[in-house]
Amino acid sequence: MDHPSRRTVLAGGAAFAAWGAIPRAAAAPGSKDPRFLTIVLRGGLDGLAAVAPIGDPAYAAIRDEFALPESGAFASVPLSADFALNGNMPNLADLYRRGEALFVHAAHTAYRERSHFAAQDVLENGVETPLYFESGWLGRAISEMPVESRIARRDAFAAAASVPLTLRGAGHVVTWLPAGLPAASIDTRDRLLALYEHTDRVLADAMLDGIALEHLAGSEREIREGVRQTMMMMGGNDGPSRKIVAAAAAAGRAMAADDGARVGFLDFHGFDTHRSQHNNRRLGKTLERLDQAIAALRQALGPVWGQTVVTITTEFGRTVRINGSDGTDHGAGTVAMVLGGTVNGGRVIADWPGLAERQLYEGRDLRPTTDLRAVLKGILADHFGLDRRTLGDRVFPRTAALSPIEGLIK
Amino acid sequence: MEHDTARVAQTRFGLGPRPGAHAAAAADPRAFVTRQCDRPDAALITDPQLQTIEGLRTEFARFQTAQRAARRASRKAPENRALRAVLEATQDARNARQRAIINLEIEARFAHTVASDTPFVERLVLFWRNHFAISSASNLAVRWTMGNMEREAIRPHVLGTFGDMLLAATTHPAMLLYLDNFRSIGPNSRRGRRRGITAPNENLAREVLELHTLGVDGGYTQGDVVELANAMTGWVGGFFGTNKKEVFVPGIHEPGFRTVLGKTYSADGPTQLPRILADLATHPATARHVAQKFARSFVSDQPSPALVGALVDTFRRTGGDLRALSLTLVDHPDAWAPPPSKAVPPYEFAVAATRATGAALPTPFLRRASRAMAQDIFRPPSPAGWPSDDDAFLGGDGLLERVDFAEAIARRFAKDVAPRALADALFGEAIDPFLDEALARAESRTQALTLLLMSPPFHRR
Repeated sequence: MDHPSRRTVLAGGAAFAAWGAIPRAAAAPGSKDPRFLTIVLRGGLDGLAAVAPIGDPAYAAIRDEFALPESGAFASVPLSADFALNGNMPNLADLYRRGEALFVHAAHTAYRERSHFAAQDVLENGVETPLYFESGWLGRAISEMPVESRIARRDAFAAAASVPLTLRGAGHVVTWLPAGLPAASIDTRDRLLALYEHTDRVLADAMLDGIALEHLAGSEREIREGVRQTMMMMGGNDGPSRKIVAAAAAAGRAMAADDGARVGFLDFHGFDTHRSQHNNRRLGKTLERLDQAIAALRQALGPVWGQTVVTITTEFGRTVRINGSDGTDHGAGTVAMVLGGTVNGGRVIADWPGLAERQLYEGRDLRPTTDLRAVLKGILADHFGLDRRTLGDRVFPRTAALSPIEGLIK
Repeated sequence: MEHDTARVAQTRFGLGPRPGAHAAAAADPRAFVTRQCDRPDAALITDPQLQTIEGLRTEFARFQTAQRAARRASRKAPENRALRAVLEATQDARNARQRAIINLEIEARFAHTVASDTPFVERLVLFWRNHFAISSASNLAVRWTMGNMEREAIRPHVLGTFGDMLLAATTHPAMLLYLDNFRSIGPNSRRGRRRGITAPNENLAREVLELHTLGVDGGYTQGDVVELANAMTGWVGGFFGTNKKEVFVPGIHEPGFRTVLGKTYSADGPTQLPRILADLATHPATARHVAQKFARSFVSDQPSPALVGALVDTFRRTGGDLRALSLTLVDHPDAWAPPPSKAVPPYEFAVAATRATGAALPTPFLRRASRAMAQDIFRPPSPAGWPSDDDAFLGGDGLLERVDFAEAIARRFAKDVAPRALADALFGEAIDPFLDEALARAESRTQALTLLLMSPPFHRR
């Protein structure tokens, strides 16, 4: 068996095809108690600003002053001869170096228009059309798992106010939000629970469920303390960071516990960078927060990180050219990230379409060449042990002809 | 505990306990509710700060025009920093105005509901608003118009007819924008032929049949969806796509006869859709669908067949008279008999807590709290609206967030409220003995008020 190359060839599908031939991991799925978490970046991440195709001859000219710098305070981190990671993400760079992160570039869902909400629907529901709200791809994947598996038996965890579309269709999903309001005193809660025990069984049970969930994810005080430490360690301290770091830490805790969740969901906002996409301004800060959240998640998962896969996806990419307000507009292909201790990482997978004028999608966007569903199918096959027919018929309906990308998981 | 019908009048058919209301309702709980139905105008919000749809359309167009001009100028001279600054300023101005509109709408709506002395009518507004759900998680013109939709398409009709509300809601710009009808083009329309369009956008037509009228088992076919979608083409709402700001654009309307549910409708542009909707509004399947949902939302997930039957009869007999429907509900013993089985949704708990305490909640706090309690205002998860199952919103840490919210009210926004006196005003002699004891033993005023606001009558009905 060939050892996987650590880089891919730009402008050509050769390396990509080679990846498809790698045999599936030997470990029997299900025996390793897998964890899976998906993070949705809302707004449309500019894939070219997160993972830049420095080897593409058209890149430097088309991005001009917005090309990632090779030196200085925001110096990008080379991933291969052809790609470099945005310099605001040191924790992610570190995971990549350890072989625990990979990137799939020029990836996209089945959606080809440019509405955020329709695009997010398609990203989350895993079918080809927006405004389908019955179930999401991950919810369906969970519902296809053997009933005795931990994935099927445990509640999935979502750091969201209500069950996100991605997880709809799963049997049980618990929702949790980082410190919405300052927490009431424990004594007040205890007295209230006693009152409910005497007066309203439904409210008593709802309260007990909430307390059990908090025990799993960490109380708001514990989360706050954990976040404070993470932030101090990383030297950042702004409000928005604290919130997403808190969500990541809670998800990590909920999933690390032996009796905790096996599947998790997070979403982060702020990627709709129509303007001021400078590295030291909006996009840079947003990526830095994402990086801090990744670190907090890694830390909270502890030893379980070795059984974990995390995907980070967004509804679409952005225009290749910078617009009149130093930003980018809604586009098509973008980058997806796969992280975790069990990920066969340290590489960028891309059937690179190129950035020359004639290579762009509709003359403006990065042309999508990898169907995101092929990535997710590959992960669900190797990590959850779901078979190809289930994946092609039920998890991602009508994708029987779309082969899962193999070898993403160790 | 004996069945407290005065409590049912205030909770199942109202907005929760309020000082003095228990005594007022006790004499004749049913009349306490039914006489509110004689005041249909009580649902209307009159606030000079809130715009009509025409006003919003004009204002939106002004921002769009300014932005288009600024973008064009900036594109011609990409190096010119001043032009770029102008573009950013026009975008900022539009976003600021949009935020202001959303805040004003939320504030006015909350204030109106909190102050209302026709709480049952407000419950009807909440029910019908949710029946024709739209979400701010959509294109930005929806955010400009979603508050207006409730004021102009829902509130005037909650004690009127279902047909009038259906037409107003379906053709309101917020709905046309939310479910994509504004860019649906008839294949044989002038523009459709020119652009080689092969099919209209079906989103709105499908939801009208499935969610708003007949219901998923209502006996319509895919052919009916397409025909209704064709009839809807041209209804754009006047926010995008045309400089004339026309609500109905003939050049994209699919010409010709339409056949929906076996009945054929002649072709005359903008009057075709209203005729189809009028028939859908009084269809027997619509009567069943609406009656079933009405009973489930107000009473329980398993309403008695007799109650549902009475509602269906009224709807059919009156051709969808919503006042008659509401009175049939309140007049039916099976609507009063069951024990409290439905959870009060978080937004309505915020209303109830504010009505009970007289707290002055700043709008940003209200919005943050609603999000935390899992019912972000104007943002239901899908066109099907917020869930209304008995236990909706009680999952996850939802109830704990309510405790935090109640404590925040007690500590910050209702500092002068004496819990004991408030409990007397809310429940009088009918207070639950366990609640009575919990209040007596509370270690502080804040704790007592938190317990009172978290007591079952505020959360279950």
